[in-house]
Amino acid sequence: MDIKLSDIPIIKSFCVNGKNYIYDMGKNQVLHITKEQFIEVQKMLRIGLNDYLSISKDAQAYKDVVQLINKGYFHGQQIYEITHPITKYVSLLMERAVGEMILQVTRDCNFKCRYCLFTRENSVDRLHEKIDMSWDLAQKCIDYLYEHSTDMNDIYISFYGGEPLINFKLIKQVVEYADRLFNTKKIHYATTINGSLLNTSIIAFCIEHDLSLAISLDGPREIQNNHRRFYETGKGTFDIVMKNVNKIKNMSLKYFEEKVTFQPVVMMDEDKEHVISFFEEIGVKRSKVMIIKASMSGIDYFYSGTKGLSKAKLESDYDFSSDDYDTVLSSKSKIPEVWHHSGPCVPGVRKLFVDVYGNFYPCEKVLENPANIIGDIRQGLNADKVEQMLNIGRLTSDDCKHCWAARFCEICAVRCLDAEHNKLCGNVKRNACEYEKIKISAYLENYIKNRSI
Amino acid sequence: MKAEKIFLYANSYATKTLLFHIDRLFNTQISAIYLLKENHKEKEVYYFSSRIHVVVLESIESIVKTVDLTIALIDDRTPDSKVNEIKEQSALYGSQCVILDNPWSKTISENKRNLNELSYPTNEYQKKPVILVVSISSFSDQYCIEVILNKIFTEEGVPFTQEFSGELKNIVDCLSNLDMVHCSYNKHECEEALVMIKTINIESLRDEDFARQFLSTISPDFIILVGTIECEQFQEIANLFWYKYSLKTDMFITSPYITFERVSGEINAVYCDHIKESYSRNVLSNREVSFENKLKNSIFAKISVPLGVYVI
Repeated sequence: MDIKLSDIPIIKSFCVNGKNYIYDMGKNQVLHITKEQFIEVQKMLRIGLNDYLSISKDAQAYKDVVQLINKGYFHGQQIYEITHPITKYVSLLMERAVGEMILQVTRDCNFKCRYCLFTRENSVDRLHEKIDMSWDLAQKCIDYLYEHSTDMNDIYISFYGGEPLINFKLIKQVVEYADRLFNTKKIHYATTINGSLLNTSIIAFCIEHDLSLAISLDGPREIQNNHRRFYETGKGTFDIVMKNVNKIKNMSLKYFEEKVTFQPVVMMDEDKEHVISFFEEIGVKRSKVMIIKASMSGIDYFYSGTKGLSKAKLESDYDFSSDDYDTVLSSKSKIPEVWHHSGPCVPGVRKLFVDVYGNFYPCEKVLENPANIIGDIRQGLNADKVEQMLNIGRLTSDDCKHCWAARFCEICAVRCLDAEHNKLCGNVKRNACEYEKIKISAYLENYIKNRSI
Repeated sequence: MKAEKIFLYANSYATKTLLFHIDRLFNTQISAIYLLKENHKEKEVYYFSSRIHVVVLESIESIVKTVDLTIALIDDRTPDSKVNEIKEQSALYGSQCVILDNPWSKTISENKRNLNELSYPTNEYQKKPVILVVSISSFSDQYCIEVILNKIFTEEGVPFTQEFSGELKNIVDCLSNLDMVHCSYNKHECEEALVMIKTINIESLRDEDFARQFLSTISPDFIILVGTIECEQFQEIANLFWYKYSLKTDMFITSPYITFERVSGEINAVYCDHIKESYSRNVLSNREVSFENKLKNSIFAKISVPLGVYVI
């Protein structure tokens, strides 16, 4: 029997606590159904909607399923083109709406962390190296932001590394220059640091310019010293970081409470609550602690290599309290025929990451691989590359058109890179799809558990 | 007060909006408007009248030392240090400086107002043609439509009353205090008026009881819906007016903006005058060259009566 793909209902079946459920992508609803109805639905999945409807049966379960079909459930393909709705405005946004620039002020770092991609010998990414961004390049970057943020009321300038404070001189120059240059926009400054190089004058500067600090402190002494050691000596880093954290508190408690966050990286075998308790003990509010899971991301970078991870492991990584998913599931809107899953931001517009050489990347989370370059300071943003990354779903166009998880999907280009061949790749994206589907299944199962009678 | 050269200090949307027929807002002859380069591309800055030059410069000082008046529209995004700089430079160079709250810093839902109180006796709305301008999205340029309607009726010599939106009222009140507002914005006596202009925000009409009462009271004769370029609600709102209140929408007018949410909750208006959307024939862009004429012709075609004819 030759069944057209478009004839297969786009649904996902669940059996939870001995009961049967169907998530219907078109309707965006979870249905509880009887065992008999469930069997009928599985039959329909095997033979396709049209052939199923051509069967004439007296069985009540069959009649129920047909009734649901007539009410708009269990329909096949509803998406006919994978195009992000904002695609037609990409050039305009590149010209007028660049809102955040992240400058890689240095590639150097004084730490060697266990999970950092830049310290691994066989890393798919670059290694730490003693290269700083020049003032000439940084100035050109800020000028670029000035010229391409015409319609933005808020401007974000962030400093990234390596360890950004190794090149604090440049950070200071950039902040002072941007403060002079921009007249009407609110500038938000931020940096992610390891906390070891803070001193009184740097802290005073941060306070004066409202510079948000995200400190990569992993938690109590034993955890921090286990993961994060000095590159040169191999010694633990906890004492120096804590000393500097206290220095910030002493200089301005208000600044500490409002502008300082912590980004501990938690390994699979570590207790997240134990780490959070540590921060609460030192006077840091829970909301200021942003846990990063080491199993799913390096300290700074998300690596797309999800292939080979077990379902159990992925599920255990997943935090069920997802407000975003709840919002998706609450929507009653019909899915448009021309559509693209969420996930991709407008590359270079929402964020523009510039490396020490002046290459543009969509954000700091992507690998610094030629395939991820979307322009440079000399040529500006490359509209074709930006559009390609925005429409990353086109890599797996047919899959996306028939995917039950389409409404929930959050895959962006970060997770579609074939690092070995320097290109964005459909097969790599499919690996990410599997992970995404497991995550969404877990969410829906949990949703069902919380609501089932 | 004389102000030939005016510096508009505000974000991109507020300056472009205020610039719209600005010579109709002031009672003084304006020769030049100065803007900051960070919010305006050279190629997009033009003015409707060749009498007024628009000059774009990079620094506050280079502008303030040239102008007679600075109008600063500020909100919680505006850097305090720059406002202080403007004040200091204005004092130094002897020019006037007016600081106002930016009336366009709020979104449409935040601007929801209780319009239960009408400015005029209800029977006046029944007797005269009423033009209703309904803003259906943020950045819809409702202000611009109010300004252009004021211009049309003033130039045509048709007595009218106009109930301002909150945004226009803020600006007019401020200029009145400085004795700088154009006389066409003075409150007109209702008895003499032949036409009434009223504005409302769609959020205020979400309350069905209020909407029914409001619309039946003012019984609009010409309804204009204003929204952004990508606004998909035009037809939906027109249908709502038709099927719920038996009111026909006469015109759809777009601003030259799209709404862009860069990150959650941070909404910006992005200027895209050069992108033409495919609309039906009764959708106008408020930046079209012939916009004023088309609007005028449509309104008069519907509400005017032959000379010598009066509704009594």
